[in-house]
Amino acid sequence: MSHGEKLMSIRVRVLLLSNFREIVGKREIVEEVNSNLTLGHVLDQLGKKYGRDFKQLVDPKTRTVPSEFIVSINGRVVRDTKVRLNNDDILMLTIQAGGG
Amino acid sequence: MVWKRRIAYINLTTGKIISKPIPKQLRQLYLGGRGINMYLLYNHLTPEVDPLSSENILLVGTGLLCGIPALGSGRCDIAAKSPVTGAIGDSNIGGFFAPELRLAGFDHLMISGKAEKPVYLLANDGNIEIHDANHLWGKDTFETQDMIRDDVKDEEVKSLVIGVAGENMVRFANVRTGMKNSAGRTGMGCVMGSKNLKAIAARGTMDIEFSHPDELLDYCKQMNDMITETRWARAQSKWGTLIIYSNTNTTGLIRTRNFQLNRLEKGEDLEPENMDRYTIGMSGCYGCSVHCRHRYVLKEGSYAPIFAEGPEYTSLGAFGTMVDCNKMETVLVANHLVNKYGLDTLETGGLIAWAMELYEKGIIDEKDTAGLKLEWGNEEILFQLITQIAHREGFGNILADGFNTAISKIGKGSEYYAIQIKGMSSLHSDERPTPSLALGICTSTRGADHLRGRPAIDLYGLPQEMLQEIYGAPVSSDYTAYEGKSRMVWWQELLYAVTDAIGTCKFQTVFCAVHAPKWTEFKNLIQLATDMKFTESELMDVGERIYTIERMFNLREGFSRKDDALPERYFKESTPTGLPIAKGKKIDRNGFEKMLDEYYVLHGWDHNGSPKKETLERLGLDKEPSHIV
Repeated sequence: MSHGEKLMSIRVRVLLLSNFREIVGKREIVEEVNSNLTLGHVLDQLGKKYGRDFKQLVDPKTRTVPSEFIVSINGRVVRDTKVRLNNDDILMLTIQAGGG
Repeated sequence: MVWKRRIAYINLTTGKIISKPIPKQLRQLYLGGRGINMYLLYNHLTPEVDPLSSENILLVGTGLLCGIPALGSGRCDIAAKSPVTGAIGDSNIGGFFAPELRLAGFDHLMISGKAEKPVYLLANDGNIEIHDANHLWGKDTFETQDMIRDDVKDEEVKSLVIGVAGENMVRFANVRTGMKNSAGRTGMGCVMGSKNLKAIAARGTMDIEFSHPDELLDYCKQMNDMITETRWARAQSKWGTLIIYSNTNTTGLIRTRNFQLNRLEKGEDLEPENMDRYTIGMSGCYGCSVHCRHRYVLKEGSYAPIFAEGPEYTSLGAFGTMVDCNKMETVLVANHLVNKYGLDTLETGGLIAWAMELYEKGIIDEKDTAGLKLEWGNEEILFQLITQIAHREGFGNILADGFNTAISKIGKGSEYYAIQIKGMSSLHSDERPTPSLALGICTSTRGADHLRGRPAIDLYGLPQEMLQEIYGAPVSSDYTAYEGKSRMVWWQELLYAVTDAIGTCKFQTVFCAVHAPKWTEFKNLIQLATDMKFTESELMDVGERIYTIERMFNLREGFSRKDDALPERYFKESTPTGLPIAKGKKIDRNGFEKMLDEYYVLHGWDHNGSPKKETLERLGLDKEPSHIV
């Protein structure tokens, strides 16, 4: 955020799949965060609220999303948690799942 | 030891049965299972024979590692010329049959000719007998297995069977064993039906004889730990393959109303957690530490009571999204019906969804369907059509011949709406946002299919360095990109070919989880089980050899680059819904053709998809057919 830019509150939809849905008991939640915050901040915030599985979404050393998880923003999978979020972004949290 | 394993040649016309050891040379080139089956098919099938004639041959082959206590090693491969496509017919099946056949003394069966009346085969401790099956004809796939156990008076008998769909030579009839396992694709049940072969039963008390049993056991324990430590396995043990639906339907990667939408609206009831209402436990195949299939009970409804296993993600699409049915119970009933009759779930759902779209567009009407209103989401119509197809009744009789024949019978531009490649229906995934997945269904040697070369891990958006380590060259992490995706498909094709040849579960490789077994683990297992030594690179060559001889078979039958083609809709119609990344997507024609060119280069094939002379020489395929056996 550039110097003098006004801090705003943004809303992010978080779609919960697999074990994340099971833990929270909901398919979807809404998180409100300051506009200068990153994906990492939101995931940390969720970790504090919901515990271990959510905390594991961010590798504490590299600040990236470990390969066993899938975190997408508007459908695009992201590994770097320093990415900034925008109002009405849709986060999806799940795990690797394949087959047929 | 592996060198003692035998292949049996069974002629159903003459009743003659002989068996021979499988030569070491063939093992080194093709391992077993799908690999040896493909060699036999190329060598023993006369080109251009009618797949339903007595000249077609049916091959049953257990994997080289079948019987080890790890990685779902109970798999066998069933092959013939496909009555669905006219190309390679090949389908892989888990469960418990394959280890029993090995214990009965046989690794491969080559069945030729046609029996005068219904028969079944019984393999037992080094012998194979042909038994009368008149009393089994007309029985469903569950009853047939029970009755064979009663016949033999042995509860441990395992059977591959066909249902009424196979007897009626529905082109996409499958072969089944146990409550759930199916060799679903390419119509191998139809070939059995055409030979009056109702079942193949096995019971054995012989030894498989692994080379280094103690070390092998330790290493199998490591493999099982490797699998069960993945989050994928833990989730799959709980939700089965239904877990995929949450991701694909949320993102917009799932075919709905045939191909009109890429997400099922109001599809919450199909979410995996809703299986909890019906599930009484999870079950698995031989040698599996995952146990990914639900065992369920339906106590109410017009088809109740139902006690069954499944459904897979495939059935969720076939009888859910593609036909716009959004109730789990509908899927559970339809899943049970196709299993009972012995129909391929994907082909059945794909054809019905296509017919529903034709009806919606006015290309067919009630005069064509004998009064059936093929409306989206109508479960009774769905159940009726499944039953009609299996019994070749009414409009179902037209669908029972598969896409190629149904398109020519219906005409009127119906081909455009058919989501098929080489005449075979595709999984319900919508590949328009995912070029790698689109390429994989086109290059599949057995027709549109996700189990031949799908780089499913492309959807995980993995770090580039991780992808480079797996695939050996730069690959884009972006699943909507085209760069490097031909390499992913090529690499996965080789891996799956070897997996099918050793007879382990594809899902327990780098199909589902990044940190799952691949070349190194396979080479170690083969060495411990058989004393055969391979490098990783040599194993990849085995995969290349298997895939190339399949390609040679298809070329000989008249297939070429023109058949590695997506349905036109992939290029013309954009995805209407989904998350932003998946919305408004269609396949770029130039991008696709470039991927296909790159893919041929990786295989060592020319611009038309024919293997180059130097490729054939490198793989030892230049003198095929060689008739080693």
